[in-house]
Amino acid sequence: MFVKSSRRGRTLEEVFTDKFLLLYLLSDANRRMGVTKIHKLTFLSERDMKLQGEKGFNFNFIKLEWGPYSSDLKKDIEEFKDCGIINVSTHMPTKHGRLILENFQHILEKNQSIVRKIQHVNSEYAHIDRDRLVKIVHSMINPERPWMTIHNTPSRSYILKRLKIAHENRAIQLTDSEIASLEIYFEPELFASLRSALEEAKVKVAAIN
Amino acid sequence: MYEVISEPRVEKQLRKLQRRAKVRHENILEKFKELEVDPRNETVELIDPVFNKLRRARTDDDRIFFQICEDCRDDPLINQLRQCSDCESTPENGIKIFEIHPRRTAYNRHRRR
Repeated sequence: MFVKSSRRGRTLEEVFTDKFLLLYLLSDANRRMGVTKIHKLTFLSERDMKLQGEKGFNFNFIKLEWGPYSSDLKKDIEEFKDCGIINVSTHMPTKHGRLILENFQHILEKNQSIVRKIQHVNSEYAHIDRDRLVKIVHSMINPERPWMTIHNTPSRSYILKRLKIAHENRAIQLTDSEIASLEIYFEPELFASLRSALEEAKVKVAAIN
Repeated sequence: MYEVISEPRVEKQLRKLQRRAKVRHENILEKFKELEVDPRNETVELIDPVFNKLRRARTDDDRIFFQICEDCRDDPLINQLRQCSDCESTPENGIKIFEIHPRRTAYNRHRRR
C-alpha cells in the first residue's frame, strides 16, 4: 500500500518568516561571520524557540561533522548573497538588507518574544570563535533525542525538526499583506522593476513641472 | 464594474506574452476580467512605505501589481506617493496595472553561480 510521506518543504509563509528572522539574526549579530557559525546560531535560536513551543524559524537541522546543518538555511544564505541582501564575504546585511529591516520594523515589534531569543543567542554565542562554538554545540543534548548529545548522534540524523503547527503555543505573527510585501523585498529584481514602474507613471508630472 | 487601465510597459509585456506564451497571456486577461468585477477579491494589499496600498493578484504563473484609483484618491498620503501623470483623465472606477512579474517558487529563485 502506498503510504504518503510526512516530509514536506516549507510553506511560503515559513520561507519568508525564516528569511526575515535570518536577516534580523545577521543584523543583530553585527559582526563578520562564516556560514558554519550562522548555522550554529540559527540552530540555537530555533532550539530555544521550540523548547517554548514558539514557531519562529522553520529549518530542519541534521548533524554533520561541523555540527547542526540545514540545507534550506544554506539555500537562503546563498540566495541572500545572489540578491545582494547580505555581503558575500562578511555576511552582514547590505543597504538593501537594512532597508528590509527598517521597513518591516513593526514585525519585530509585535514578535518580541521571538526577537528576544535571537538577541539572547547572539549575545551568548556570536562572539565565540567558530571552533569553540562547534565544540559547545557538540556537547549539547540532542533536542530530538534527549538521551544523547549532539556529538553522539549518528551523522546525517535529524537533531532539530521544525515545529509542527499542531504543536505550537505561539507562532510569529505575519499577515498576508506583510508576506506579500516581504516577497517583493526579498526579490530585488522585482523590487527595482516595480519601483521603476511607479516612477514611470509619474514621469509626465515631472516633465510638466 | 471597474475599468482596467494598463501602463504602456504592461501593454508591451502583454504583446510580448501574446506572441511567446499564449496560455500565460490568456490567464492574465482572465484575471483582468475578474478584477473588473471585484478588484479586492482574492488580492492582497501591500503594506510598506514604498508600495503602500498597492495590490497584488496572482495567476498560475504571474503576479499582477495594481492600484485601485478610488483608494488612491480617497487617501491623500497614497495620492502623494503615486502622483500618476494621467490621474485626471483616469476614470473614477479605474484600476491601474503597473507591473506583471513572473511568479517563482521560493526555491527556484536560488541560482548557482
